[in-house]
Amino acid sequence: MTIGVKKVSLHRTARDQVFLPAILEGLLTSARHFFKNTMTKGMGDVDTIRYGEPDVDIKTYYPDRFRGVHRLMYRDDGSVRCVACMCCSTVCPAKCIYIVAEDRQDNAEKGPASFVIDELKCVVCGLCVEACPCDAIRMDTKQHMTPTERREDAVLGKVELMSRGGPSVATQGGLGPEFRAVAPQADPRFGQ
Amino acid sequence: MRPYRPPLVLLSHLLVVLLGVVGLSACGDPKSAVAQHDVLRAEPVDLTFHPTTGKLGLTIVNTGDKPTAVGDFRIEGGDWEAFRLATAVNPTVLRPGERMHLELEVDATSLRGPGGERRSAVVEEVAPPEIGPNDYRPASAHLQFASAGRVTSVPLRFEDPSWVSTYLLPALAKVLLLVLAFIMPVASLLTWLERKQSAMMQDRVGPNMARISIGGLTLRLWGLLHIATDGLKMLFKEDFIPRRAHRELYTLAPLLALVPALVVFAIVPFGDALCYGHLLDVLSQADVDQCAASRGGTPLQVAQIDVGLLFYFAIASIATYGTTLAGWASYNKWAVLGSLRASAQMISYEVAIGLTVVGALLVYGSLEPHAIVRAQLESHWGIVLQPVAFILFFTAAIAETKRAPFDIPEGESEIIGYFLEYSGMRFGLFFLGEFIEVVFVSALVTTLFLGGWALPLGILGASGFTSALACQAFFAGGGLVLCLTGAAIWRASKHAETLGALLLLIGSVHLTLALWSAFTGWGTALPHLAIVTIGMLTWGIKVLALCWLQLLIRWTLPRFRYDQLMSLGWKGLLPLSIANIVLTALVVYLLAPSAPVGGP
Amino acid sequence: MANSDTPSSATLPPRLPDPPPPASRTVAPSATGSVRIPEVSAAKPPMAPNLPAEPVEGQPTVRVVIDGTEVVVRKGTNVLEAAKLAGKDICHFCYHPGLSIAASCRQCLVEIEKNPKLQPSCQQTVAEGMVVHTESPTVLEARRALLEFTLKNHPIDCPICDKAGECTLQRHYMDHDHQLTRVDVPKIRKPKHKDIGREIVLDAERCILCSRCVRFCEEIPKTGELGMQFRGENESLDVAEGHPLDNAYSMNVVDICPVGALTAKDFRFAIRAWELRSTHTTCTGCATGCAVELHHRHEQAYRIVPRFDATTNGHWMCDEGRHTYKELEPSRRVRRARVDGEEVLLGHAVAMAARRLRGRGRKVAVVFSAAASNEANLALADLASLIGAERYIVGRPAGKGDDVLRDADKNPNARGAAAAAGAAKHEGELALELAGRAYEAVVFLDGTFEASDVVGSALCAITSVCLADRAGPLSDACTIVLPASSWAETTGSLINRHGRLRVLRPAWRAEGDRRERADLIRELVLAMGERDIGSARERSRAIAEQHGSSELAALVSDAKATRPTLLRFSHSRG
Repeated sequence: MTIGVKKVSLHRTARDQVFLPAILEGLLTSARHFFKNTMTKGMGDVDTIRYGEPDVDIKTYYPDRFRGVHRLMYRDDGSVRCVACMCCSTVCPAKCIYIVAEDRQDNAEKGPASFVIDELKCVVCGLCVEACPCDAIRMDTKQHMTPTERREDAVLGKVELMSRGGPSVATQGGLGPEFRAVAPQADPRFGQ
Repeated sequence: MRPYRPPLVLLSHLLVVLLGVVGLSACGDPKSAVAQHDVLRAEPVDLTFHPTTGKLGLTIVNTGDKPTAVGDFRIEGGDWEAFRLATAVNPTVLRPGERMHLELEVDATSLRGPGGERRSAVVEEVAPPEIGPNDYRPASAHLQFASAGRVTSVPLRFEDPSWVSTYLLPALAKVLLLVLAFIMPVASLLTWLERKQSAMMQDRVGPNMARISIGGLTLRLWGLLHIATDGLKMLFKEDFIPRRAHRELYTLAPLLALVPALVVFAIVPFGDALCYGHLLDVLSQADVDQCAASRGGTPLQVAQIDVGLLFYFAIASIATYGTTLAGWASYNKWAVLGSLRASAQMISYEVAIGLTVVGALLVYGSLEPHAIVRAQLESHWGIVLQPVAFILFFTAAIAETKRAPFDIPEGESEIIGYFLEYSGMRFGLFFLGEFIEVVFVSALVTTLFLGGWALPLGILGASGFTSALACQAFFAGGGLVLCLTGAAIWRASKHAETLGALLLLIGSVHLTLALWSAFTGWGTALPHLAIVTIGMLTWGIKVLALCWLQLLIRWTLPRFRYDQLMSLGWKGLLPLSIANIVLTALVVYLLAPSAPVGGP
Repeated sequence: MANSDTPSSATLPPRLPDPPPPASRTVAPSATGSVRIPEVSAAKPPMAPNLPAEPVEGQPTVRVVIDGTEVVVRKGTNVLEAAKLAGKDICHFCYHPGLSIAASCRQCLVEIEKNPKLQPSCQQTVAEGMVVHTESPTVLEARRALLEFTLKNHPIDCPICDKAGECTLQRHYMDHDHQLTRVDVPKIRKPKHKDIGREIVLDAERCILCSRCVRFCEEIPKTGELGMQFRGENESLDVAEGHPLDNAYSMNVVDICPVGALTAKDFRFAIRAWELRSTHTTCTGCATGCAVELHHRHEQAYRIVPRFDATTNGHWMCDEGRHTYKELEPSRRVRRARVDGEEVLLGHAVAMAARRLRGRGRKVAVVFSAAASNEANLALADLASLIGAERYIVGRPAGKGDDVLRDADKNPNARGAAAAAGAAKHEGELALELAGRAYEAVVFLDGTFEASDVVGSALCAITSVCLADRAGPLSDACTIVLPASSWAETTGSLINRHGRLRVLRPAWRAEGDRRERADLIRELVLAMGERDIGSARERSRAIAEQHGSSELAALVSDAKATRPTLLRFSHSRG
């Protein structure tokens, strides 16, 4: 097999160099869209979802993996799942997560004394959710961060984040003893 | 629930109206609709002298259909001594359509001072105004001549109006009319249209959220209220001044960007002329010319400057200071770089603009915009005479306004620009200035190349349509376009039914007028007010269409790179405009070899 | 050479002989001519039993072939060190160059030709003509299998483990194992977060039983608190009842622990290791001047860990020295100059100090500090000779010392300061003279001097200038306080008890008006209208030349040398 080489001719005809025919073509295309969208029923090709219109339920349009406002999950006993491992704050490209760790007296040993997300800085990339080893932080609320009048109101603390949270039953530290039932046996990464 | 939409009902209404009009017009006698004129008509219908005017010409036209003898020219009236015929006039016979020219002049020195006792013989209830020894007193007389047993008289007036009433007040009125009633609304409309039109071009919705709720009624007006919300936003935003900025120049710069854009509008003629005393009369071109010379009327142009276009170049150059100072005074290196780009671009393209206009000037023979439009009326529009200059000028003018595809000085998406540090209404002034420049470019192109206020093909003269057919074509065409647009809008949007119905109504009125003209031959003699209104509307529609075109260009073409921009300006537009000058000069010289050489 | 011909022996770690005493050096700063630096005295760092494999001049060598590369190594070294010379980093847990060899983890198994079984490379002494394979399939499989075995009972609680990010087990898992767990039986439970001593928390579940810490306690502090108990998979690390781990070097077990079984209470949950930046500098806790890394983030120090230095401290440092980072606490920093209790601009304060000190007839005392760098002390010496001031030298009070690393003299630069001060009186005399109002003005180089109430009230009454980096009793008493940079913000040098030059490297840029002491004194001198005595940087350069210290010279000339490393990108520790 030989590698095919496609030679692109850089020759420009007089028509190209005058520019005007191409410009006119472009203008005509734009104008066609303009008149089609203004003059025909239902705004022609406009396919915008009217977010914010009272008769539009936006959540039906959102995919399941839509990333909304963060929430913190909790354990069976209602305490926060987060163990303050700082993975989310480390991976966060916007550096908008601030965690202070503390000793916990129960078996969890470590937890967040404070867990603060500055939603104004957040770029909604979802990396914190991917980084979390404990299923403690999620972005599946399907809610946008609501506008606030003061910057402080957009800085969410542990209480606000947990108020959206729910119980999570994921096993901490890997899949646990049930790995044979749930582990992806055919995962090519791990062979066997 | 689906709203009630009665297209058939409305169309049947229209039909009834049309049939009614047709029926009514059929009842009348078409001939009787033709106004009874004097057989001999003087153009202008009256002559107004000012102390500075020299001889004034008067033309007598035979509008009848058989030869008529003219003679017995006399000047009568209270101040007959002051006026006299400048040329000897002999009795003569005028064939139909033939014209006869005579010149009159006034002896202004004899009208200086309070005058003799002759005037005191008149019993006056009101004391005459105080007249100083060096002031002129008003005088009036009339020129009489006899023809076919009738005596026709042309009023002659001498007056020394104050500068205030002749120039200042009309100019102020025109400034208000132009700026407050046209430019500002259009410029702010463009802020909305910029977004709405781009949205429509790109299959988006665009601004539509601003609304007013009064009780249960919610007005959205297709996002038009965004104009108001934007203004409010600009006013209430933080007025930021960088700590080390030059406060005075920082404040001055937006004004320097806005004010020249407004000032240059002074030279744009948005109509021919308005004659105060003859709004409902049918006037000839000579009457309008006299009004345009500010005698008994006013030109529809804020300032009639002989070097109008040079004035434009001079003032527009000041806007460069606005951009440069904005960048420099901001104490920000990116702003300075942006202002350098802006000033380099504006200066480069001013060269092209200036040279492009030279070609047009060779054809029109004047720098005065009003005269340029009149020159186009007498031959053809500039776009026919100078198509290359039109394209070059339009291109360079868009570059001069610093809008896409020439918006590197601003380049808000990548390289930022000279108003980087500006916020709130200071930024708003730059923005407004830019849109006003868009309107101005449209107005200037309209003036130079699209025949200003004139309808195409010269179908509308000073006294009316040149023929009834032209009238019918105009009204029928306009009515058809309006009706189709109205029907389309009606169909397109459930929110725009009112607008569609309005357009349909106006369109049907047009169609009715066309029918009326077809049956009665109406349209060749229209009152002055109607002519002026049609002219101003035409001018406005041309300007708006060009604004729309500029927005279309701005949202279609991608931004130039800086070297491409400079290369286009210096290597493209400049040589082409010089070539255009040479070619135009050659053609003008060849076509008019007998033109006087050496000036007047 | 007393060092390890028998590396596996668990006897006392042998010592290196003292380094040869260099010729006496002279520092000649610009102003006051030469300042004598004292002779080098005996140095006895606890040395590594397992020396690097580089051949030493005059000692026998052997040739070995490691993965096809022939290397010449010192006779008596082990295969693992020899492989390092060949560029092969054999993964291991229990081997530590500063400790005896246990060969208990079996992670460093290599294949040696003509040997039927895989051999632990840490214990295998090199022999002439030995051919070693470190990356053969057998070896790789052995590594993977051993890692899986090691991880069998390891609780994967990396999210809450302080070692995460610098954990040897994590690194080896990522490099050599990297598979899902196959364990489907419950893991053995052992004590978690057990308080076993003054400084240390034990998590026995995480322990992989490498016995490094046990060997450390037996060999370096020779206290032997830690030990293994039970057998088989129930074997676990613990201390004996009633004998907590509280020797003076106990926190070294945190550093050498390859996993997070032993963690420091002081650093517990303070910050994740990968967020830290590391600056190579010198401990200022005592006259030993151990080589350390200062770990910090956002201008705040979090811990100090030892850095290998063959001549001074080997692999270790004392617990006392580790706590010296606490004096860098941001809330205690002096950020602005103060004159008569009011914060003023630095330039203003310097001008005020210069005006009050300038009078020719005034009796002025300058107080050298054994805790300050050579540069600062030399600059103060220049000032003293310019204004003809009386010289005093003060230092921290003596503390505990031992024969491992700690010195009873708690001043990091006693010898350098004494050399710079020349004939100077001591703090007892200073207190007496100040209490007796013998001076109209006094300049303190730092806040080391402990002023009594009487002296404090005396200082309030006269012109007392203190170059303080943190608020203390002395800076509170002085009328003029100039903000000086702390040792973590300074480029400077110290002379330790052995007479060696130790280098202070700045970890972060001094905030606010804080300046190096030598620069502050220079500005003071300039404000007094005297000639330029040279900046701190010029002094450092001169000292580097005098001592032939390439480390200090590079630091002064190269800006990159002062840039801290992000710990995330360095090797795992332990």
